[in-house]
Amino acid sequence: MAFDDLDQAEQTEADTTETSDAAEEHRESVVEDDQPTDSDSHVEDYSSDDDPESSAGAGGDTVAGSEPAFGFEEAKQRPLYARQRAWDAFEDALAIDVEPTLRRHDIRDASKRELHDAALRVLADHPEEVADKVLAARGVSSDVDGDPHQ
Amino acid sequence: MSETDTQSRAVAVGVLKGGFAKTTTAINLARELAHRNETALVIDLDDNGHMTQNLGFIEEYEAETNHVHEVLLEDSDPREAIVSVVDGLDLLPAHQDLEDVQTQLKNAMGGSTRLNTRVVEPLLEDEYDYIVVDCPANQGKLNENALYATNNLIIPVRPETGYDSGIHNTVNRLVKEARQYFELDILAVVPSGLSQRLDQDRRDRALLEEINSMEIADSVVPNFCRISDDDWAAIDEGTYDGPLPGIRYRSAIDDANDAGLPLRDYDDTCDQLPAYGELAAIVETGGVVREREVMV
Repeated sequence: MAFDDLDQAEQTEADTTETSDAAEEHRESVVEDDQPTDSDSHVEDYSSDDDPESSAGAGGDTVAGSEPAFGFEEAKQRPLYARQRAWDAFEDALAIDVEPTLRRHDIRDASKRELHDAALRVLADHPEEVADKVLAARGVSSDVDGDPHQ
Repeated sequence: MSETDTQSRAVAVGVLKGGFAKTTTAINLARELAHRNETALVIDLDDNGHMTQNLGFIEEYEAETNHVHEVLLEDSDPREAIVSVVDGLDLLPAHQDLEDVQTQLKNAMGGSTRLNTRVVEPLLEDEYDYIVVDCPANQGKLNENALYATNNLIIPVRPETGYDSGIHNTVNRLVKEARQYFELDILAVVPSGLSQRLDQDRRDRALLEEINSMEIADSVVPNFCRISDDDWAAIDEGTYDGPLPGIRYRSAIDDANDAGLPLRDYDDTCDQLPAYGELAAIVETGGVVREREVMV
């Protein structure tokens, strides 16, 4: 069914980093070829080339670091409900702290999917701090163990 | 995301299939954006020029000087070509020789970025908070320009034969292609022209079921056509009392078109106007703001 195509396309995250002039030239030449099947095979290539498990761990390596750690067909877009200021702080942290660090390792093309995926994995490693934030926002002291209604 | 979190934004309304209410969606979305934000610009990039001609700008469409060529390929100020549709809503009209513009864009330096550099970048924020582009129904440089300049896409669809292939082609030939080179967000999928009973196994229902069963439905299906499993059960039992989903067929929408007016200016009591209002809100906030949790 056609909407499966949309589902599949939208669950993947666009690689938003190719906006340089060079990327634009590349785009001009490729898009003009006007061969829709190219895109399909190109997308499939990603999945055969990249093993997300192994390449995710090799992010700092300069050879492995030349392209995103996993292809966008592996990334699934999900709605994320947050207040604007929390989202702004998150994006600022990525732009001000994370991306400069990556640049020091010669990675200039970090994709949104890589940053968001890594951020979620950090969260998953620090569940207590997430709980603390929720409790603090509700005015509940996280020092008290046990009964959350105290 | 809060409902007040709005920012200026450009959006393309496009699908690689004719007859999907693309132009009607674009003009009424732009009109509601203008109504809610004082000003908006709609750009008619569809080579059939339906919007421009329907709104009565035949002279501009058939003018000897191709103003779209002047703006995109020469150095003309787009403001000189812009006309006023109704209070607050402006139009950059199409020209009958858009095909020629498309051909020349193929050989122009940065031929996919011209709409962005010549029109959207100079005008967005400074002159208009919102810009809507009515895209051609075929693949090519004009469509590329629209997607590159806006980074946002609204896909209209109608329950007509071939809607499957229309969506399939749009996703595979436009969206996926574009995403290899730049960011493109799908803001919404918008079914319109619905008229059939939903408790029978007909095309309207099939379309709504397909849209609502997408895994990404929560992100791209507006509230006015989001139907939960409970809603379907209620529809089948005859107990559903919510509003009918989708943009429904109304003669006022067609008549407004014939009269050369956006729906609001033809009949501001039409019960489908709020649907275009929600589309405007989606463009303002950059995504659907869910009114209720939908369990599917």
